[in-house]
Amino acid sequence: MLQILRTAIKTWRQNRSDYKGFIVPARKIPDRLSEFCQMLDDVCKSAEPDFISLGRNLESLFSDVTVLSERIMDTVREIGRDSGENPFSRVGAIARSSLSKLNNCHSDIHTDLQYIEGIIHNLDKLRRVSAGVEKIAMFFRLLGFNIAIESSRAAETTDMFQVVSEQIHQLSSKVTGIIGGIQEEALKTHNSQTAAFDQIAKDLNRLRNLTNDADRTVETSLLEIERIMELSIEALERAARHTENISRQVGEIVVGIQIHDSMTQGIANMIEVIDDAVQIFTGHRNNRKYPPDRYSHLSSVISFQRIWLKESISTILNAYEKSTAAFNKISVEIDMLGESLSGSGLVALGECGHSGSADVDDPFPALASALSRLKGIIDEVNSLIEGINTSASEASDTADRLSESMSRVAEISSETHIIALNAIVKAAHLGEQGRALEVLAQEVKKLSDQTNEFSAGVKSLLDNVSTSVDELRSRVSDEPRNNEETSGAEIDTGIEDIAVVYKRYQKKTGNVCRQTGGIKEEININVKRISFLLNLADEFDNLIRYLDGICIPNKLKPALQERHAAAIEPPADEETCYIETEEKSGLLTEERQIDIINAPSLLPDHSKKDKMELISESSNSDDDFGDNVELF
Amino acid sequence: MAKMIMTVDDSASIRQMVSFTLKQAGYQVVEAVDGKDAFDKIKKSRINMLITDLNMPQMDGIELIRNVRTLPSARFMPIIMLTTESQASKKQEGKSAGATGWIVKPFKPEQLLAVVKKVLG
Repeated sequence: MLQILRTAIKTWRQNRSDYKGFIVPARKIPDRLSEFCQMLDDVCKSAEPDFISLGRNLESLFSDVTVLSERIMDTVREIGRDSGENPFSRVGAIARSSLSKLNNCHSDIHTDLQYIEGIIHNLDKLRRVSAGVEKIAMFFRLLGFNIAIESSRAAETTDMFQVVSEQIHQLSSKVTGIIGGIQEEALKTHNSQTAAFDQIAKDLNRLRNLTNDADRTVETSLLEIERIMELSIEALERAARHTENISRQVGEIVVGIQIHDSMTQGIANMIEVIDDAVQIFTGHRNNRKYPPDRYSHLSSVISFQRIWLKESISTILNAYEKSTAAFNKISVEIDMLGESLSGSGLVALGECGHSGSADVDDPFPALASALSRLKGIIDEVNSLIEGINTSASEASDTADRLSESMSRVAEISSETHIIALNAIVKAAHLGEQGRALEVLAQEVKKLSDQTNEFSAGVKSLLDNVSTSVDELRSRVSDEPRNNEETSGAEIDTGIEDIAVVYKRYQKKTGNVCRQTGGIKEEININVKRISFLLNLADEFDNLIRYLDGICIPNKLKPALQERHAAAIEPPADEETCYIETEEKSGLLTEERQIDIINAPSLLPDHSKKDKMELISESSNSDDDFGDNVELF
Repeated sequence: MAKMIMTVDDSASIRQMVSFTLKQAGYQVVEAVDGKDAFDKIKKSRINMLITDLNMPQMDGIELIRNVRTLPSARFMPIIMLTTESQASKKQEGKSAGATGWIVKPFKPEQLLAVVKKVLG
């Protein structure tokens, strides 16, 4: 009997609970809902540090990405900046100008050699001419000797011509000595000029070949660098696009972080609504009088909160997916940002793992090497010019000395001429006795005249040498050649500049690579940390189960069940349905109606557009800020 | 000199995101946790623009705007409401109080920056 009674009571209670949808006894419902609200509040508050931390990490990540982007652009600009500031452009212009000058210089040196050849030729002729003077001197000596013999036949003539014979002998000895010196010096200078000519000609030929090689290398390097400079401009544009894409993805995460604010407000509202519903349920609102349909009212309130929690889970999961996807896209963009550097075909990035144009020689060291060789050629050309200058000086000195010697020869010749004339007069005074001496004196005079003629020839040759030397010196001191030293100095500076820029570029590239790796690691950590959103969704799910432990979901109102199952939007319809029900029951106060309408949804509310348009009397149609923005 | 913008919100994460968005665009940002905190700070410093939430403890956004508009220095200062509220009546209330514009949360950084650029010039 007792057993039957117990079974009957249990069945009655079960039927009663089933009908109202509640599982727990009515007296426990307020406490259970109070616990639920507390748990809800705790879940919300405990999630806040995670959102703040995510925000902080995002700030840090964005700051790092901004720095990275600036560094990449700065690194690319190192190579691809405006041509006026670019050391490669400047050095390239210097190198091309130097090569052009070098080619002109080669032609000039070739012409210089022709002058030296002329000097050599004149010196050669001078030697031959001076040999003639030497022969004349020998004849003088012979005539002097004959005069001495002839005059010794009579005492009178001996006294008269002995002195003449001695004078002629002395003068011929002087001429012979001078001519010997002239010949020796002319030969020496001739040989040294010939040696200089041969060496300069040989060096010139070698330098021509080297210049052609340097020309090719410089041109190839410059063309490659110009190509890279063009690519670097494209790289800058690509880097800007990737940075913009990263900003957009960061924006997605910024939107995701804001769900905590909506969640906080929604939960505060929910707690207020539940508290109000419990007040009604327990009769505290109406002086301890239970409303007629208090179970139904509370059931509706719980079912609405259940829907809100379901929507919140959906929103949190959506935020998780979007934020995770955004982090992953940022990671991809970071890779592409790095590749915008390596993709410019500059150099292998080493630590980054990317590689530039591996099959192409690095053009910057190649250019520096070509410039070094060019500098070497310029130095050698300057040495050649110096050699020409030395040769010219030597020829000039020789010509001066030989002219002086030839002046002395001319003086002696004049002296001899006077002696010969005196001898002729003296011989004439002797009559028939002096006939032979007169003939000899006439011969001395003739030889003296010949000596003058030869001297004039030698003088003319020496004048030719001097003229050649003067012209050579004038050419060597020409302005374009002096500029070669300036070009050499500029190339030296250019080589240093290239080395500095290239070293800086490599250092910056290394830094970028290291930073890229660091940022990617940072992103991986963030992707792991963002899983707190999954935990939050789980906690919301547990809260739904907790509600299910108070009120059976399948006993909820059919319209709300459908909404719950499909988690459809917009909620406004369901809110209206729910509010209408409550209004009919007379349980919902005006304040609560507003609270429920205002309960924020975490999902983007597409219905807001219509609401905004209703009041957009002054909305600014010119500025498309988005549906959620209105300027008054 | 960078413009100074105040963000007023009782939500730390919203303040953080507004501040982050504005700072990375070169603005200076000062934060306030509610209307009262904001009003106290505005009186003491030169603020070029105000971005405020609506529902906050101690002093809500509407009351803050009304108070701020009484200050001669802030009579023409741009004030943007940044809130989850989207009802026309609330917007009208904000407009009447002296708000320059209304943004419904969540905001996208580019939206916020476009609005700031528009109203600050």
